[in-house]
Amino acid sequence: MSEGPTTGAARARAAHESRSRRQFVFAVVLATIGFFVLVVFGVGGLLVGAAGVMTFAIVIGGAFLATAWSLYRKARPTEVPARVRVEPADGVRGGRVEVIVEPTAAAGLGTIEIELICIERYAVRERHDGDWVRRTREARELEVRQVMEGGGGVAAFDIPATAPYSHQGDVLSYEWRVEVTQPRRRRLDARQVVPLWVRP
Amino acid sequence: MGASVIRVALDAGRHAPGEVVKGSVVVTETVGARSLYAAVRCVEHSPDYAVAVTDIPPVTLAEGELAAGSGYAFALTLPGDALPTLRSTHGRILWEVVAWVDKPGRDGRARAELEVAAPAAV
Repeated sequence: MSEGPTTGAARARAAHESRSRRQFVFAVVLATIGFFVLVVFGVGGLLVGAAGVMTFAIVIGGAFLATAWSLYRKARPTEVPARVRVEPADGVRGGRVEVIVEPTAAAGLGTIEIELICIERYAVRERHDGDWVRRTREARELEVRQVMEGGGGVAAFDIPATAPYSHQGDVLSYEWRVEVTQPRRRRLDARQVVPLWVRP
Repeated sequence: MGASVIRVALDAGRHAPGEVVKGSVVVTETVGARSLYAAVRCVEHSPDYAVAVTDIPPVTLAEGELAAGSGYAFALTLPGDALPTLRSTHGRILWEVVAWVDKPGRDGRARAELEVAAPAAV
């Protein structure tokens, strides 16, 4: 179990993703009902020669499946249509990294958001059913955001000299990454994540 | 950390990776000991856990009875790739010198923190 994001922007994104997960589950339910209607009533109508039942199955089952497909397209995670790389691939505290974004789609990218993020993961003890258990929580130790207009370009980020360095430990870890997000209305935002190693 | 029959005194509080940490273990009360040890180690701290992340062998500073007021010098070498000291919102990575007395009953321990700086830029 892990604690969720702690900043306002991260919480908003988490809420959006939660809504998309619910849409995905709802799409699966609708698809199941649609297939059930198609199979049961369609096959049943075919066996008894009832054209009306078959028509009902096709129309209603088809409507459920079409709605499920529409919800699934909105809810599925998609990648930003761009090549994203970070130079250098391993940064250093007190240094600078550049995020290079090259659109791959003819339609371009529009407005995208680029974030440099450091995630801190730490072990805690919690009570569970009367016993002490170990849990891992996570929190964003640092996040810096830039907005890029006009599709593609280079965004530079300075890594603070006092920020954590990348570390994978037994009870404490720090993970750095670059996230590129393409906001989309009424759909899950497209996202691409590039890991980054930050040396001390 | 057990009875304070010893304490650790460092010559300097700040070091770079690869440097030698010098200091002494001072005995505060006479104790019939088997041995006196010291080691330098790196410890990860989360809110509820502390775990040593290095496995540097300790050194033996003395054997037999330790008289009050006596001091035992040590020189412990930090690894060349020692992680720098780090403090964040929910955790810390710290270096410390730990000394302990192997004696009948509960061992006496003492520790002193030191700062390890980041490697100099090439």
